[in-house]
Amino acid sequence: MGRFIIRRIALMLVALWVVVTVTFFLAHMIPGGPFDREKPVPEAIKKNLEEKYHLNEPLWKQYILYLNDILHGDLGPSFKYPDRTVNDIISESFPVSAELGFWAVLIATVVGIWLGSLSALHQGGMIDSVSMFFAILFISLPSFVIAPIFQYIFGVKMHILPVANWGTWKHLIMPALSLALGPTAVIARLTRASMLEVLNNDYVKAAKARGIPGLRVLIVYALKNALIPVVTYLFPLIAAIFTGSFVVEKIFNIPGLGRYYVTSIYNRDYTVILGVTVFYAAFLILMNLLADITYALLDPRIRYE
Amino acid sequence: MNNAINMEELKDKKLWEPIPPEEKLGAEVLTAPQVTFWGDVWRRFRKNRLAVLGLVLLVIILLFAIVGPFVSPYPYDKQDYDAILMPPNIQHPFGTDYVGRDLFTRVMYGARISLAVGFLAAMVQLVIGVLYGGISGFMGGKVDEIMMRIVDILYAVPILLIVILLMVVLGPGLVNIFLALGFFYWLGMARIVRSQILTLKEEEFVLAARVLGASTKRLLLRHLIPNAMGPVIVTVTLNIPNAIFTEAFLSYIGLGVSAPMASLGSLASDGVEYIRTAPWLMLFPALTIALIALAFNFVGDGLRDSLDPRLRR
Amino acid sequence: MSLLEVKDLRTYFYTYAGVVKAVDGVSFTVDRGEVLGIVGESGSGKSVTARSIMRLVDAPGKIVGGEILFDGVNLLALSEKEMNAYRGKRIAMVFQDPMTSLNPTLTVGFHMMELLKRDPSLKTKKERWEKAVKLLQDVGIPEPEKRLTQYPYQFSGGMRQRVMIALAIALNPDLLIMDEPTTALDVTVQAQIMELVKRIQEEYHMAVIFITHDLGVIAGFADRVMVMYAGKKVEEADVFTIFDDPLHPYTSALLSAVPKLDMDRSQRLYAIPGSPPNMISPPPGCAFHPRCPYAMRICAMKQPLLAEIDGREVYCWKVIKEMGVVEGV
Repeated sequence: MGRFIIRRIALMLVALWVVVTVTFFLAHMIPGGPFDREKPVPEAIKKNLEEKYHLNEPLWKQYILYLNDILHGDLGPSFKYPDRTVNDIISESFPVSAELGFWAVLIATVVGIWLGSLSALHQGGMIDSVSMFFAILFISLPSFVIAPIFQYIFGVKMHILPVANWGTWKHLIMPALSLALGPTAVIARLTRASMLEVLNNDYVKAAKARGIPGLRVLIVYALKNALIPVVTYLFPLIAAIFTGSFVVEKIFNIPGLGRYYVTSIYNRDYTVILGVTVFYAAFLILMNLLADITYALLDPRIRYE
Repeated sequence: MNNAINMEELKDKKLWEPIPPEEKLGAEVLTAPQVTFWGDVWRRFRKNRLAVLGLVLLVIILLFAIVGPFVSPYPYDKQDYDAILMPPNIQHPFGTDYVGRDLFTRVMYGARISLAVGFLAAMVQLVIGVLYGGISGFMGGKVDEIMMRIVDILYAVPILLIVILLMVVLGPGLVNIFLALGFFYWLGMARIVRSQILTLKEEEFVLAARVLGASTKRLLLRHLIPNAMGPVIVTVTLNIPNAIFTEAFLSYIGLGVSAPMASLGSLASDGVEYIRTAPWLMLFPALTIALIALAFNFVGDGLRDSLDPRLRR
Repeated sequence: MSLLEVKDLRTYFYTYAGVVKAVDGVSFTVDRGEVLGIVGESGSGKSVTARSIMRLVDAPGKIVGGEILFDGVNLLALSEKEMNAYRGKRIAMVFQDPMTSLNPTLTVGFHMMELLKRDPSLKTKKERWEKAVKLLQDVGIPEPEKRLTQYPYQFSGGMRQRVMIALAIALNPDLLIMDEPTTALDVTVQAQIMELVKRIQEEYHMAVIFITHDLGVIAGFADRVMVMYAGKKVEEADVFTIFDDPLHPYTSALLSAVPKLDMDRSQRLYAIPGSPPNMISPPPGCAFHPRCPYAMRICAMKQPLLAEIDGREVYCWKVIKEMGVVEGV
């Protein structure tokens, strides 16, 4: 088990390194930026820039310096607003995104698993057909489509929820739901398929043949195994929700990291783009790692691959 | 069937004579009528109502996107300052935008672009994925191991972020988008193709063909590839809406196609600020995206079920 | 009183293509300590019979008629909870495929301990554990203490089947049903498992219903044999008689189809002509008649009556004819 974890961590570190490297070199290719040697820049500013970003050093040296900074957790100052560091920006806005994301994940997981299990147990019945129809529907609607529709219906027309901004629990509902609907559908379908597959397995029948009560068979034999793919999906789900939050935060004007990221793209705020990308990447890679470890914990067969 | 037995009946001597072959019933056990593989898939597909609905929807959308613009009386970029921000009416079924352009036409063009992006991106993913996965699976051994290690590492990389950065670097533009999408999202396809090839390599009919002396090339073409196609086709069908979403997403954050050309994503993005005053500007493009995705998902799901050998019949 | 009395059992499957009469009026008994072998092709209804006894028939199947008397109690009249008390404790079952019969995410020890909780004579965890160890030893698994902590994937096919047998006998059931337990195993492993089963049957004096399509296995183990075809019993007799003097044409055909060591190498292998019956619309009359070399007109019209001769049962018009009981025939 330990060896498995170490191998996965190694893989993830390589992936992270790939991201940082690619990001670094891409950032240096952004046209019109401070790294763009061709654009003429006023002398004074040029001096400042060169100092801060070591621009007069050869590229590979800048790269090493950058890696070094990252390892120390220093993502540098914002390019557009030099008196704020990227670290500050992240620590201010990430908690907002985290809160939003947390609720979205919670809703998606609870409702998804519940509906999925129900559908599997009553396969072919009313609940099953209706749930699965809506599931396909919501999978097809990305969060940035649902969000404005919600905004329009509940905010503009019905006036029961605030159209945008952040602050009270009311401001949480629409964005969280917009983010959660798609994933709920995916989890519901996943749970259902998994449950159906497990319920048909021989070991479930064998357990029943030993006289183990139905409810216990359901929980210990069926549900526990059926939830393995669902639990492991949880982590990429968290990743998906955070990416989805870019747009949702923009639509609802929520002061989260996603919105900041989007704005920084508009503004071509290079260091912020770089820094946030690295941060997000690290976060997402961590999620993947946790998913792998969880899967191995739950299913002993995987550990020995 | 009446099995009641009357002792008198039994005395009939004829009953006890050997049965002539013509009277033996049930000797010919009829199997199901012969169908070809694809014929069977189509038959099962037809039975699935959602899938058929999806297919119909798809056809309608394709007509809308391809034929529509030729039929529309308005060019997509004609600005008419007398008709700014008009709600849907007879002349402008989807309303007009902030410079008086007919939204209906723009949505049609947008659909065209989105579909093109989706389709082309999926094609690029298909080609790269099939090549990579096919070679890896077929060669096996060390080559396969190394190639898959690379895939494992790349899989762990959050591709969307890289694509975003790439778009920032390359700048907006149609070609850039579908290249970016195509070149980065082929991993899933490669894995599927490879696993199909691996399974099929072990299948007995490959062994049988080999025993009959089939050459490698023949093996590939006539045996391996047609059978591996199933999941590949399903994946392509489901990749198209994903590509469209990603493109819409990129447009939303300002990295999509450049004005005045518009994809559904950029149309929706532009429309967001008018949600209170002119909601149709956002709603119609968004709903169109949704319908396209819905159609492809229904069809993809239907195909997947039709091709699944376990669900036969 | 017999341990098990199955009377006119009918189990039908209601599929979209039609009704499959998987078990259509089957009756037999099993006494305490007796081994009954049930033989037949795939689709003959042997497995469904076994599952019906355990009341483990899944939709779209349904037990539609008959009685199953176990120690005097009609199992078909019990509630699900009452029936569950019988399963594992008084009637146990071993399935065909050992590779999938164990939950891959639970240790073998968990499987055993969970079951042993129902043994009132074992009061502490330690006692249950010791019993689990003893059971694994009984079925011939080396290093049982270590094995109990392992997961199913760490066991080979033969080992897993031994575990399944251990689970089946754990609560000392009166009746053990084995549904083709060796079919999925290698021939040498088959022999080992059969040795094990025989020993256990003798030691625990269990009644066993042994289902298989392999006559060779039956010959060395069963006391009596019941032959099934198309959901019905066609012949039943003690094992020696079945092999020495089969009456039903199907039984003879089955025996002829088994290759023998002393056959001439130039002899062709015998295969029963024709194909298994379509269970949705089986042939009228005797279901075997299309493939039977002795078929008479009556065989295509009416299902044969029961003929009891010297303590054996046969359902065959040819046998009835030869018995000379019908006037003038």
